[in-house]
Amino acid sequence: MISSFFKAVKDYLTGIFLYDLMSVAYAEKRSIDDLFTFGLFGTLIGFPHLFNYYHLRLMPYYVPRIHPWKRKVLREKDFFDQIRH
Amino acid sequence: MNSLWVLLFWLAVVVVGYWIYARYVGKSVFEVNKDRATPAKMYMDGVDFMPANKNVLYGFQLNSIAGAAPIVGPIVALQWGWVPALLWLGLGVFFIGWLHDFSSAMISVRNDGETFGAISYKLISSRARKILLVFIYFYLLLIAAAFGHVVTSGVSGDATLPLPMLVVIGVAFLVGQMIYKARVNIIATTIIAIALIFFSIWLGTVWSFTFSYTTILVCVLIFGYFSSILPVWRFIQPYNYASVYVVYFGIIAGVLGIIIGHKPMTLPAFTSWSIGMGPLWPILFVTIACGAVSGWHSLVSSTATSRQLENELDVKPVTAGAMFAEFTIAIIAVIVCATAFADKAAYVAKVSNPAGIFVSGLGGAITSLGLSMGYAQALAGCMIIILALTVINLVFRFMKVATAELLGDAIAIAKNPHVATIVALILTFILVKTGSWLYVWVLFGGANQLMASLALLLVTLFLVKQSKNYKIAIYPMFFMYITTVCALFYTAFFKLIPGAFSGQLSGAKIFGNLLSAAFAILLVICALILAYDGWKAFRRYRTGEAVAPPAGAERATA
Repeated sequence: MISSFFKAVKDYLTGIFLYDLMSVAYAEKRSIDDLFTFGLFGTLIGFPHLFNYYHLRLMPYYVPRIHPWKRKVLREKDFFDQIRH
Repeated sequence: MNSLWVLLFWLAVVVVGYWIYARYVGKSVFEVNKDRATPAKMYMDGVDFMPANKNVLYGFQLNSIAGAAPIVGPIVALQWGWVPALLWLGLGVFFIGWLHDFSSAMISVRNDGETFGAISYKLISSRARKILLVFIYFYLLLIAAAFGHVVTSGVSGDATLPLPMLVVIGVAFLVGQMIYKARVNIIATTIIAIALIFFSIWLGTVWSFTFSYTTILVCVLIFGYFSSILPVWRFIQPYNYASVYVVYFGIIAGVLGIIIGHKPMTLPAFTSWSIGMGPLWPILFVTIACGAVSGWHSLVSSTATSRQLENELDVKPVTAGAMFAEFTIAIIAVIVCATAFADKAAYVAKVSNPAGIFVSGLGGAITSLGLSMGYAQALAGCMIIILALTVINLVFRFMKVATAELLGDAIAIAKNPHVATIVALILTFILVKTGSWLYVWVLFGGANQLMASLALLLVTLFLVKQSKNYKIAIYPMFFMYITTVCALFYTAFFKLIPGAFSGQLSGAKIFGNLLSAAFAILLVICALILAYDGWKAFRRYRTGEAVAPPAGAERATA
């Protein structure tokens, strides 16, 4: 009971003070992820960054992320999306 | 009347509103279901769509919605007396405010986390998104002018504030550099930032200096320019982070001051049905926006919060909970100001400088904790200016993006961030310098409330389409829509335009009055077009007519 109360207070303070800072770090991570994706699939659009060996070794780890990445990139963004950042 | 009883009564209203009415709407109307997948879980991308704990989100939501408006609005509305101000705050938040925030988040959650632009495109018409964007641009301009004056009049009118405000801005750059570039520990960074800010507030009381109104205004606009142009991590986020400690220290000290001091309310409970700004209805209802109901909250709830909710049960504590917390801040603002002045004349003499009124009020409350009056007032002054600057540092950024989206296809240069920002800054400068601030505040409040009624229009259409009880949204929507349109018309045609031709104003003020009136009329035209399209959509959904989404609407859900 007491520990859950303190956890709630800690989460609340995180939301007030740190969540915006964390979101900047997440956005930074996303841009690095995008760069990695470009490195991995650059061959498809004429930018062969990786040797095929490494490309194939990494592919099984990346395949589950392809669909969310595609959705993220294709999602229509408008003015209202700026309110978050 | 003792101020402590006033605070306790309205806290009881919060309890009833949150645990009874909000619970009923959540369960019976929206049928919240904790097992239904939220957009955060379905489309998790690690940034925009990402599940977060409800307590974290509650803090985030409160931080995003509570700026200077829940303080400034009630301060200005005290001209009608503190009873009308408290009644509108209490009834507004109970019947409309929390519902508006909650339902805005819910319709976004039920529409795959889409923004209001995409939802209005789908639910109303293809032109609705464009009209909404035009409306929002001028809404943002009024925000910039209203809060630009709050900062400018506050800093130029108080010699203790320029130094701490300069230090706060410098500390923001320092914090950004320390956290993101030098990778200094966050705790060490925080301690240094807080120590520098609180020391500078003390230093401001012993080393004070003044600047003219125009000089401060130019400085505020330069601040807005850098906020708009620099990366978020470089300035906006560190500024918000470093300054929020002063704000929460001020709020906590204010609450403790009310409890310990429990001073009597010295301003009149009720003054008149009509004052210089206009009649109680509709003008009071737009003078107090945040704290009762605010359209800005719908944008935050539908765009940011809705994409991070772990499950639908969290929508109520996060959105309604934050709204009731903001209401409490507004109540505190009313109480500290209604107990601070010996009589009405002393208050009215300062009404065009709301920061000055707040400084007297909160400063007096904080002295109950043992702080000196000089330091307490400087702290209160910093708190209100920091809150207003928090709004300024976002608004030009949004205007820049809105300009690019509105005009970018037709005029290539509108996409240039520097050009778009400078245009917004020039418009703001003209409006602040030539406009009458009390009327600009009314127009801002009107635009804000009109935004809220448009959000409720979307909620109504969503509920009709889902064959749910739409009456909980349509009556508040009608009330807000009629009230705000009347307030904007009244201010334009009975105050601003007659004032311009009364022969009592100088050339610049005449221009400012006519410009403000033009903005008011433009906002009303946008709202009327949206209401007309909304009415057509409402009839379609009521009759059950099959509605094909506008061409291209599927892109919004791609």
